[in-house]
Amino acid sequence: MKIKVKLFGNCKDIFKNSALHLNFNKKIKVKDIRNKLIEIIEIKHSTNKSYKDLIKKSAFCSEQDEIVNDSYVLKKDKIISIIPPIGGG
Amino acid sequence: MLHVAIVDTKKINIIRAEKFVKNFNAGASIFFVGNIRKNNNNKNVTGITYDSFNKLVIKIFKKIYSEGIKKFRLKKAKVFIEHAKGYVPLGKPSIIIAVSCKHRSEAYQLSRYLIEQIKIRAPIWKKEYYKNQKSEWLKGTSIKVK
Repeated sequence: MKIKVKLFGNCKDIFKNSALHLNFNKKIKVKDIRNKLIEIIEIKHSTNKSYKDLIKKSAFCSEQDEIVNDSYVLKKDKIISIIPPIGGG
Repeated sequence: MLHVAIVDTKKINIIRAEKFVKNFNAGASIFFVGNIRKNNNNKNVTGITYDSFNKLVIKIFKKIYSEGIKKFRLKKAKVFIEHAKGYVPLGKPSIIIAVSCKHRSEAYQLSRYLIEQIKIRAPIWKKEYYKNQKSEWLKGTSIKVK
């Protein structure tokens, strides 16, 4: 199962991209994507605790533009967006 | 009546807002302009880059507007909301919220409600640039998840 994770704000700088393409062997939940992103950070930025904290504090948005929690199952979704803490205005 | 948009930083200006909210049924118009200020957390700010999830921002702007209209029981309010995307230099506007209502009290209430909700609900991010050439993404507030 291929999932495109759209990145915003600080996440674009952390992953040096505007999107990531992840592969999973089974049906997954948002929790699995969060954990995968944390795994990537542990490999690429092992000394930076704040990056991991940022992922932990982030929300996720489904392809239907709904904010979803960690137990949300990606059935038809091919795209999901990570929403790090916001601060517009 | 509502206008919402995410716009290029050079296009954001109050003239279009004034035209949109002009309303002979309204006795009050309120214009809120958020500008880039020089000092934040004791750092000398030269500008801010805004990133946004445009589709979701527009959806949330519309939802906040509907909630405000309902909350303050308004019938003929006109609202204009534009937020900049990209680099905004010191002193320039990042957001314009214009509101026209029958009476001033409701115009003030609605305008305040809109900006306070946008700050905690709209997926928009700020990267500040400083005089010492450094920059950083601001910490922000986590979106509430049900």
